[in-house]
Amino acid sequence: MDIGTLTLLILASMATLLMLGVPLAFVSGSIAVVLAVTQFGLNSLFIVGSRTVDFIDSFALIAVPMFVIMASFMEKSGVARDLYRALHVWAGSLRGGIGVVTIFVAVILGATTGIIGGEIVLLGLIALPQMLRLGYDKKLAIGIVTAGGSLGTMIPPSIILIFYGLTAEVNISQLFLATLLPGLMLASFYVIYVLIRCGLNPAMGPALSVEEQAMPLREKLALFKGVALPVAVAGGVLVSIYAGLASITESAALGAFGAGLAAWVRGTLTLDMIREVFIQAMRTCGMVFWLVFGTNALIGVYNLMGGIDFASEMLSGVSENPTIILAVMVGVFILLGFFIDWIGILFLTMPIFLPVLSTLGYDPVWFGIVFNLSMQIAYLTPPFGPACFYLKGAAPEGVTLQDIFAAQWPFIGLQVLALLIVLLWPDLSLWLPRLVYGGG
Amino acid sequence: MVFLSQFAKWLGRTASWCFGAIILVMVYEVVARYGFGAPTAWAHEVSVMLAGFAFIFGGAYCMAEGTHMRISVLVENRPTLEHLSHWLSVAAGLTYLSGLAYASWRMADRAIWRFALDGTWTPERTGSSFNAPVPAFLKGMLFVGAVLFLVVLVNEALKRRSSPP
Repeated sequence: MDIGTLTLLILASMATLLMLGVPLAFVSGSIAVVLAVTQFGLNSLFIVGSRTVDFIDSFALIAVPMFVIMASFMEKSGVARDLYRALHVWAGSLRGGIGVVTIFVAVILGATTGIIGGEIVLLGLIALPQMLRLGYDKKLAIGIVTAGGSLGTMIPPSIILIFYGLTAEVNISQLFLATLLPGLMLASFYVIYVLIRCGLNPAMGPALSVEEQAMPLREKLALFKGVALPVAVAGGVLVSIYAGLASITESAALGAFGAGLAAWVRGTLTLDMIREVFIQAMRTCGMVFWLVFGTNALIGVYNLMGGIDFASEMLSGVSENPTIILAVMVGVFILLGFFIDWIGILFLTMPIFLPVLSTLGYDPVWFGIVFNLSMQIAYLTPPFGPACFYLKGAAPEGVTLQDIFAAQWPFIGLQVLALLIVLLWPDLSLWLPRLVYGGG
Repeated sequence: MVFLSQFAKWLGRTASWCFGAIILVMVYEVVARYGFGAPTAWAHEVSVMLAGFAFIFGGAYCMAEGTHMRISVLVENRPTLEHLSHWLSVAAGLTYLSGLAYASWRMADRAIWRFALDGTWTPERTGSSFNAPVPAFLKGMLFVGAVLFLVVLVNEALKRRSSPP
């Protein structure tokens, strides 16, 4: 069989296994094993094992459980609730004010975590009932929560960028800097959208009641007391990474330690909570890393078959024009995003895209941000929109999955706009890393 | 062999404390570096071994807990596919895990079963100044982890056969 036929066969069997509900951890791994044995014989299974060990044997990877632990400590000690409480009193008489506050909270939470699931669940539990109580338009309120909650990976630290950095061999701190402005830009698009919609039609997002607005300034400020320490921890982690005081993994571990300490100061830390937090990290890692083991193995075998070269050549053969090739890559991200998770997309496409990218002379740091933004879209798009599923689990009664999916389209539009801006104007993302690291 | 599924859960809960140990090691490393100007030689390699242990046994743990990610939309809408989905999952799991177990056995064998000419044991090491046997450890653990994962998978499949849904 020639490589083209094999490639189609691989894609078809992956799609079949995925759709039939085979655990993602087994899908690509089983295909890799079958391919290795049938194409090269038993000895070639070696690559399935060696790529797995190479992947685990990485100090940078440990940042992932550390950030998960930091986020769970924050989550379980009630930081999100207090943060929301401290900020929502400032919304005042502004139409759509609570919606805007929710986006602010999402951005700040994004800086304490790098994963989206927890954040959406928290906003779904805390902010969504508030907005619905005030009589916000259901779709608008839902969209704010899912789109805002997804910002977690656009605001550093970001698990997506850690994995991208490891795959593309790009400095992760630079990626964290590069994503900052595009992430804030996307957040400000959401804010502007909410303000315009509510400005045009006040019924979409009414202001707080007069009694709620009447809180004295001193009380408003006092609400910040509870959140000052956790937010300082999150800020400290970012400073430590950006200033190069400690490696990302070390900074993340210090953040986990600090978040635990903050929970202790707040009087919410218990042994059970610590146990829960570590087990949560274990679950996330067991799930995500075993999925990566399998995908990594498949990529290794596919490369051995000359598949990567084949796919790269096919990709560069699409057109003489680098812009069109770039458009094809982004199109593939978005298309796959309808069906599979970001981590699957990353490990399946990057080995093929990255060599092409370097021959075309594009900046891999910038491309990481393009990927990250594309994954924002992937979070929201049905039928496999993880953000929507997370919210469904936490949403109040009467909010159906149909409601949630229907609410996404305007926000997806804003994400596409942000993606286009970053594509057409790379300096938006590259300006900060250049400023800090020089060069370019 | 059902007790091995219980063992996988227990091992997963226990191994999760590795993350706590890593946090303490990292805090110690940073304090030693900035506070005392004396960075450790061992913090990174010890962390990689602790984390590797947790990552590897996380597979069997998630299997025993039933938390591995799958796309269940289609199967939920068409319950007739449930049976096919289950056995296809078992078949794919068996294929992958036995392949991985075989591969890691060969690698572990080569990395651990090494002796110098004078007969002293020389497992594969990192070659750094601390020179921990990280590669030998990870390869050995990967074999054990893949086999345990496999056993848990078989247990789940058998459980299903003895009590149809």
